[in-house]
Amino acid sequence: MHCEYEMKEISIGRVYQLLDEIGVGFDKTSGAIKMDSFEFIRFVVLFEEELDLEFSNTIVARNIENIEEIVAILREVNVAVV
Amino acid sequence: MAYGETIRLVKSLEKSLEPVSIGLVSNICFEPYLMPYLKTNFAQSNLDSTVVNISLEEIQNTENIQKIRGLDIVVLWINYELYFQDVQKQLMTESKGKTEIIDGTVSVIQAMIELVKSACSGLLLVMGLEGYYDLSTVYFGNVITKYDITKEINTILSKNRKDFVFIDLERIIAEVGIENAYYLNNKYRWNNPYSEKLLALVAKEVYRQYLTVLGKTPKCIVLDCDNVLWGGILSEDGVDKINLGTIGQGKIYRDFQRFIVSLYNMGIILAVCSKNAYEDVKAVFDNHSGMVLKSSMISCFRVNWESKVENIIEISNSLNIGLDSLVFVDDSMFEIEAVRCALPKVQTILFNWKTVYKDFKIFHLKDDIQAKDISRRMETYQANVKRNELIRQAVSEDEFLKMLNTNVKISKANEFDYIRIAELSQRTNRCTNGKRYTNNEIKLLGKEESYQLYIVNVSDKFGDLGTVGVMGVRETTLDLFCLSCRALGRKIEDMMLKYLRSKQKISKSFFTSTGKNEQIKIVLEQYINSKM
Repeated sequence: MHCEYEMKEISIGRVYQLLDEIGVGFDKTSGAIKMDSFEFIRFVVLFEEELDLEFSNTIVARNIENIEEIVAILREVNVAVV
Repeated sequence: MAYGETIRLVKSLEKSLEPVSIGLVSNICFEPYLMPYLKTNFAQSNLDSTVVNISLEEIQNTENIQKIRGLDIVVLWINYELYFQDVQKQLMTESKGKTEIIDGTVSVIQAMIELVKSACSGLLLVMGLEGYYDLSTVYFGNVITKYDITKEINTILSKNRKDFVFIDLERIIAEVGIENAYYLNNKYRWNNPYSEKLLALVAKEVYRQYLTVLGKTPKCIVLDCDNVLWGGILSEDGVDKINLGTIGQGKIYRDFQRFIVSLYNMGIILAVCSKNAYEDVKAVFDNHSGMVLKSSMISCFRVNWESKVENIIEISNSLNIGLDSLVFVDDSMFEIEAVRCALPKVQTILFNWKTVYKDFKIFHLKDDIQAKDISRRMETYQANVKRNELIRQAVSEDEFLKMLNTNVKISKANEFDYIRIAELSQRTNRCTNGKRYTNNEIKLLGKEESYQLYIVNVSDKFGDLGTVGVMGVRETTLDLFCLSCRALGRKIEDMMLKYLRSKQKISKSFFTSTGKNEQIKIVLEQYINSKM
């Protein structure tokens, strides 16, 4: 068996940089993030454009409180945060 | 422009811009595209737009409606597909008739408009309905569709509009094309059915309407003649050989003249600046059968062999219109460059018949101007030219004012004056204390017991200038002061202030800079300090 999909990579530094561009507040040390549902929409659209990918149509706008949630969301679309 | 580029552009905008607050009242979401595009558009006027999102459900709650109180602009955008979901079913099953559906929908929308108006006196923009992408609107033979209904509802809303601006969303969709107007991914993810391309145009339209209501538009077009109003060179070809008429090349120029006449009918002042013999140009205006423009529509002719730069300065002085309110149209790159270089405030349009209409998007015009107001305005500007001829003959300023036989009448304003008062406060840049009010705000001021509004009407031997000035006083503060540039140079501002002194005590005056009103700041300071 072999894996047919390709894993993309993005650095954690770039993730924070993009979050900053859409005005999301965060604390790099603790990984805490203050992202409301409007900012979540901006995050999805910006990351789709940046990484040339498409999140699922079932994704729901929501609040995000931690970088781990972002990492998990990106993993679902085969993007590894390194 | 890609979304990433847009938000980077927004981040690079200056931080010291004046704030303007916008409320989006809707049953759909506009994230992430509309807000950055609003920011970049409003930044062109040094404004920083902040956006408040309010859902249609929220607005109907008395506590939530406070969110829109005090906003500068409110956009009411009802997505028809979502809000009136059962229309097609009602039509197909004949459970409701078309008229009943239309009347019902209009009354729901009008109730929302009233609700918004009751809470906010800022500019209200009502987005028209559209039903292009509702799957149930697909045409099946001759079945009546929702699309027909949205058209009829839009017509009723736009015809009955009062104290709000109607935006024709269907026309904006037509500009990008139905295929490019929607983005289904975002529609199903977070209820934003529209594409980035469409929302970019909507943001531009919101900004344009804001400028329109504020009267921020060029006031006068200065037109060249040869190869602009007609094809060919009049001095070489003669009146009979110029291209102007209903066929071939002549139609290009006739169409352009019709376009210019439509601007004239919306209140734009016209002037002609051409290197030609005046008699020849006048002969074309008066005798050529292809002419749509008439001499009577032109407030000022400067037809001679002198420099166009000098002529444009003279036009500006004669009409009392600032250079930054002039748009110069010419087919010669040489003339355009000469004007751009010497008079950078004058906006220029290089005439190219294929692209010229797009260049006229710099105009932001209201369509509710009365024909009689336009003809009176034209008469005033034409009379201004005659007045300036008189001033050349007069020995002194006092002699000139005496020769004019000016009659100034100052009186308390009534509700019929409110539109004109708002217009004066928005359009006046030179002789003003800088206070701007919308029509709705003036109405509210008119109801305040402690607020007195005065209007100034002026006439002279050349004609009636109409209402050219306004003063607003709250207790002992001069809150609003403006005098149209049409009435400047005849000491009317002094008369206004003297009149006010005879009526009530004034100890303070509001002032904010428009960039052109420094002189009136000095006058008002002297007035407050009782030096006049």
